[in-house]
Amino acid sequence: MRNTNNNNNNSAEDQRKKESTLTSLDSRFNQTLRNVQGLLKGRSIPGKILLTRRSDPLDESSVQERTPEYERSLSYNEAGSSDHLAKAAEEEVQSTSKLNNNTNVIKLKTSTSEIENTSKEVQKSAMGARATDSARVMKFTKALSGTTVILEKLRELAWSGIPDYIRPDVWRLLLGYAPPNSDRKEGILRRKRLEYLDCVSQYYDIPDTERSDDEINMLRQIAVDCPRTVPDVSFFQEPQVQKSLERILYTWEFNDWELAASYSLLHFIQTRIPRGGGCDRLCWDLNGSGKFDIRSFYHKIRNAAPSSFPWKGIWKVKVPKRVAFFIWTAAYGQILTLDNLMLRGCPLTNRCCENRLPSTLKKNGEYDVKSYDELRSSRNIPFSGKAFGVLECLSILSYAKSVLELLACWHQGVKAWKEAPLFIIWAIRHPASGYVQGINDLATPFLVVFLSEYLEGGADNWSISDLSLENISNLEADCYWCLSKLLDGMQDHYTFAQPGIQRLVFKLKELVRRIDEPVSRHMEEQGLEFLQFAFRWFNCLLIREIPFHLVTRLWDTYLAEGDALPDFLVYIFASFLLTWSDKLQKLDFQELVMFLQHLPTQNWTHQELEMVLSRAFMWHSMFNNSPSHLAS
Amino acid sequence: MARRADEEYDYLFKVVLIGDSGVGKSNLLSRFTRNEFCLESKSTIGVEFATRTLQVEGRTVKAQIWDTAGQERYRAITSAYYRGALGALLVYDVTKPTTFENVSRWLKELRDHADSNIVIMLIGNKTDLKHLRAVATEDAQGYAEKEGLSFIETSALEATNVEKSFQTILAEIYRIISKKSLSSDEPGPASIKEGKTLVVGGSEENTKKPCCSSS
Repeated sequence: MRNTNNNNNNSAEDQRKKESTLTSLDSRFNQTLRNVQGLLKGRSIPGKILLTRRSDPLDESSVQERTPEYERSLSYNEAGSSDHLAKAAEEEVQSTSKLNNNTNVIKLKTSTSEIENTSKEVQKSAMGARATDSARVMKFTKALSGTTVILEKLRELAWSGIPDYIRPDVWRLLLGYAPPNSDRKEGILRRKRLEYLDCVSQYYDIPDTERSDDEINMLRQIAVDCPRTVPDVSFFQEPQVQKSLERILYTWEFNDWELAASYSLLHFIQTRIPRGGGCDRLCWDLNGSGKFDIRSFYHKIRNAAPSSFPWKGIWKVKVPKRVAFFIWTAAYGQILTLDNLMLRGCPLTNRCCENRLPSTLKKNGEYDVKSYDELRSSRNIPFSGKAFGVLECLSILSYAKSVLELLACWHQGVKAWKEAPLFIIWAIRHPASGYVQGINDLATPFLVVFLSEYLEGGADNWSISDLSLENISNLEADCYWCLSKLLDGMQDHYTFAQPGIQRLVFKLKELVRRIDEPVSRHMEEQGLEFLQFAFRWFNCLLIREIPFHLVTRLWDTYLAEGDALPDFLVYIFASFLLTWSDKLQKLDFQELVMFLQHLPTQNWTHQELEMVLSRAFMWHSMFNNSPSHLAS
Repeated sequence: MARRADEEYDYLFKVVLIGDSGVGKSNLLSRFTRNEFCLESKSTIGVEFATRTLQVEGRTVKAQIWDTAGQERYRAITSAYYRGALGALLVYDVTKPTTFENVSRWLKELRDHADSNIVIMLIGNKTDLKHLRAVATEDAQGYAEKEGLSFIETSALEATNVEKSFQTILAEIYRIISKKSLSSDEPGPASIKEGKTLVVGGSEENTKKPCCSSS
């Protein structure tokens, strides 16, 4: 779509008529083209046609904004020696940011003196001269100034990098943690932070005796991993930081919205007084009314199924659409739920089945496992009353051979009960995502970014002991919620066997095949599996592969992508991999694995990263809407 | 693409490193392949890989070692790497009893997913932490004998027994393989096919290659 835009707008007049959103999209595309054109000059990549850009009218600020980048890019190719170039670029960055700071109306946190401090600092604040340049800062300020932030606009801007000092706010907005409406922001954040504190005291600050075996194992695993998180940044070695990280990660374990849903269900059930409330009585359960009728009896003795598919039980019930869809697919036997896994000889102990629901019941006091067992053993007795629903559903579940069977035999007149089987199937059968090594890495960008609100300077000089307890807990809460929001979009990346990641690895392989056939063929000939190197990329979202000071910039783009992130990751990683396209073709299997697992990115600056992102953006616009493009 | 001299080898043995997370698998590997130890190493995600070529019983053997992530969640991914492995180093931490208790689960894992004739060696790592030791050598020794595993205690930090452990397992693999090729006097295609675990085929290919490139 972006493609056609480009081709159609030949004259300047046309473009002015375009809506503002289109223009910004277009200009982003053009900017990308510039970057790519500069850096890729002379390299043969498919889609060269795209590189012939039209001369479009640009407003002054954006020319200023782009020129340094563009020139640097050119020099990159011509100079050849990257060492020399890096220095030149640094100097340039230094001079431009100095200039910016002088003219800048807004006081930036990174002051000029700081920038001059060390070369490392320069690299860090480089954010490309672009992110901190005054025009961009103005745009961001404008986008954030209204009472309601237009997220689309913000995403657009954030995609190419966010200035350091507003990054925390922008990230919170992009992740949907802070509301776009600024009036409500304070209140919502306060509530969420309290909620986090509640979770910590409920799940983390309890003696081990109250934890299940799984939970103890998980805590142990997290405790083993926290000290090994970003060991090259000394700040993360502070015991207090590690403790914070541990709390965030462990508490995240419980932030399954599924769990919240089952809690609300139980709450709902508990507050409901059963209709009639009288003594238990026998009732006819072959129809909804509870009264005997010939028809249902006839169907029963004819052994006919009551109805072909229990669509009413799935769609007519007021549960989140996600649950309904899940149950629907499960009912059709299209989901690898436990029974399917069993059939395929892959039994697994599903932790929620063993631990989650019973502990949920236990914590609510009224329903404990013992009474559930007692009830199950005497389930011939017809029950009424509130204990019935959940327990009966559980026991039916343990007898019923399939989801379909369970749904089909679930007849309850009371409205609330209709939800029960769905939630319970969901809670028991839906694979739980849980802490996986590497998620600790994913929490670190949030920690660093939100800490920058409280502490001055670079992460190397930080000490968390400078923070008040309240600030630490707010910081943790922000990290916790943002991590949850980020991972919500990648639910099946961290469930059993990590199907989400496997799917993306496969997509990556396909994309690389389409973009760079020789490399793809060479890798195949060498017997190299994409899973052997790309698994970690997806699992840790590239944090392990690039220097830590570049990660926040990369995440600006991730968060700007929002829900589309998993798909876009494939493009970023393809672009990342093919940075070494020539090199890869010269390596044999073992060299390939070693090379790809220890990529030479230690000296990367923002330039190389921008290059990867720009190219990813370009390929995305080329391929994504035309699946067969170049698929000859 | 000239092959370096150290690329020539008689045998290529694939070995996996397994065990609970945090027991020091990655450091054992880095100590063995690069003689490095890193106190601040990151956790392994999925699987990592390294090789080293060394002399075993007068033969040049290239050890291809796959270092796996320890967390249970990863087993679905990592167990795929057991296939074709001739040896497994099952590591526990002598200061953490649970890592030793889990050894039996790892053994089961190997028996379920690896080739039946895989050579397994039990390694108790971190012997340098003497004051923290919680698993007695005798207990582990006894367990290893019961399960028919070889056993050694190492310290990747002090480089004690690391070389020896790899040497031992590679020698054991070599003995099994050479016995196999003896029993079927003619190592014809049938025997190779039968034991796809034998990477002997690979070695043939590799002894040929240097000739071609040098001529």
